[in-house]
Amino acid sequence: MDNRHWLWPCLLTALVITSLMSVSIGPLHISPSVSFSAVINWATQIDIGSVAPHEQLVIDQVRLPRTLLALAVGAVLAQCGAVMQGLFRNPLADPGIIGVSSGAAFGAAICIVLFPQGGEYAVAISAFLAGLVTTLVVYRLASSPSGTSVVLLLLSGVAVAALAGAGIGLLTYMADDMALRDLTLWQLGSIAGAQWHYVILSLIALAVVSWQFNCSAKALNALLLGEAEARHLGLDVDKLKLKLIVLCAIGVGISVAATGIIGFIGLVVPHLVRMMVGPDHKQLLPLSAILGAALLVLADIGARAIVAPSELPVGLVTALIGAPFFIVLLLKQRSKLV
Amino acid sequence: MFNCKTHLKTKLSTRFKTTSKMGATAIFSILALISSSAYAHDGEHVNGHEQSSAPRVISAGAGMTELVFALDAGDELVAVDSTSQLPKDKEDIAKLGYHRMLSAEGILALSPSLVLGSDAMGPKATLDVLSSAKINVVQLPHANTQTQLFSNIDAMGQLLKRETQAKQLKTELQQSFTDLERKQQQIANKGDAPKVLFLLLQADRPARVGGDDTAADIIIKLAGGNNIAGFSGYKSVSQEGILALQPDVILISNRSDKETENPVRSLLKKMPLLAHTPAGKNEQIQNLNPQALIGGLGMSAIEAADKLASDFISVKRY
Repeated sequence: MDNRHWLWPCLLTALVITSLMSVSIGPLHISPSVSFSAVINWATQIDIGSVAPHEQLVIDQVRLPRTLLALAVGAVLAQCGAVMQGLFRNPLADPGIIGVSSGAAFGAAICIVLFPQGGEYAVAISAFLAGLVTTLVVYRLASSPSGTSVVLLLLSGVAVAALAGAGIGLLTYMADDMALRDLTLWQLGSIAGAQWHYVILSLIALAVVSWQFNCSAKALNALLLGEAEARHLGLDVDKLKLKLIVLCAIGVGISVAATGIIGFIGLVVPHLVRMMVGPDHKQLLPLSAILGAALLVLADIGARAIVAPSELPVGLVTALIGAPFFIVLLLKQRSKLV
Repeated sequence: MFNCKTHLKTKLSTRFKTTSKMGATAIFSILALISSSAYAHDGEHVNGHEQSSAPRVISAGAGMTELVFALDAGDELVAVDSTSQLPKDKEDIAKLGYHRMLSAEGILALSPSLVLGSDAMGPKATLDVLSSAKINVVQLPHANTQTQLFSNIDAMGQLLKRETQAKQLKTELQQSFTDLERKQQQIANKGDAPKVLFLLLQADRPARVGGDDTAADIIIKLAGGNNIAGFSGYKSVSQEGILALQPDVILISNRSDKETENPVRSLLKKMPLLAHTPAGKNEQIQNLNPQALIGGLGMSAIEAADKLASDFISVKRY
């Protein structure tokens, strides 16, 4: 792996470039230099001039929070995806595999359809809580006195997701036209609702999960050998599982509450990174975080730019950009992966 | 891919160079693509610094937009939401997407002097940004009653400086309402109100019946009819269910793009049981203008109701 060192600067550069683009691109024309001055104004709280008040407002209240939220959510989802794939030793695992996304969607649907006057925070809070409760149910179902079985976790995740899906279907049937539309759009995900308190919450979640996942990187590597082997190495596998699942539920729960459901990032980014650096979690986790962040920031730029002055749901863009790219990659690697 | 086997590692490492180069190239080419498309949009912007004298109005919500045109202020519109209907000669006006999911920056880029919408306009975060950018954002309640409609017309007349037109529009509408009341009275004098059912048709989907709290319900009640759906909102009802309700009049509205030659005949072909309802027997199946069904109580809804009331009267028995 002697060439690995240059992937770090490469991905970090991509992240910095996408973030800078994200604050300087939008339906309102603000030249890059003015955008960066506005960012410096915001960061230092000193007015260095040359920025009109309405431009400063757009940077402060629209573009900066959006960029940071996309960055945080993308990094959290990609890391949670990598961890779940490692924990389940299953390449199809995504951050929602433990039921947190489907539970959150059900919680949001209850709020959107039955309590339409609750406001947006009500939707976010009920999505988060329902996501946590669902994960807890899945975990309890899979736990027995002799430990927690990965296969049972996977199956109860599928079963609970199916139940939540039925619940959402029922609510969809009951919904009036307005609620129906809100629900559909919420399920496609959007960074548009970026407000500073969501941004701060997501950044805190990012810091916590990154730090804790990084502490578990070695254990996750051991787990790749298989559960029994990991136990022989002296690893408390059940404790590790619980810790990772709780972290993932909180990270994904906060992300989903802030942005709705954004697919693809958590499933595919870890694979892309693995193709480049191999399965070592010490490299995989931080690189997934950087690539996930860059991709979601990029997708959000697309969401804002493609149909300006209106917007696309960002979940649509992640799939539109990401899926073909991933397919091309698979085709290139196909002969070597078999 | 998921095991730590060393041969896979070596395989990956030998391939690593090409893959990451490819990944990097792909990422940067997508970047270039998006930035070029984003900056292409910038060409259409209107500079926010230039305070032009002409008002620039954005209208969100079908009912609001209909009123803007009725008050003869259509020339001041710079953008509408996706639910608004535009006259043929104005179809090049910018579209902002759905009126509950408006983008703050998209609106700011059009530097409007006034943003008009119903109480459904949102999200709140977007409206807050617009307000802090000193843009006049006005939300008027959704009109379901005559009183509300008139107070909306007054408010809008003031905002758009079209007081004369507002006054005239109210006079015309007052006349329409008076006519409608007279017709309602005539219908009531004939005995029971006609039993009406509204069907929303979509190609290859079961018909949905419009119950209480729908735009169709407003029109039926205005025309002096009795909506017999018995539930609220739109719900799918089978042919058998419709037959059991025994409607005297069936209203249909087609939401698919295909303009059918004879909507009533094609409906009877698709739903033959409807021919056995009183409405089918007396040929009381009528087409309703889809325009009348959006934006609550407004000009098109009143017009549709008036036509419907005349039909109720001209038919001897229901």
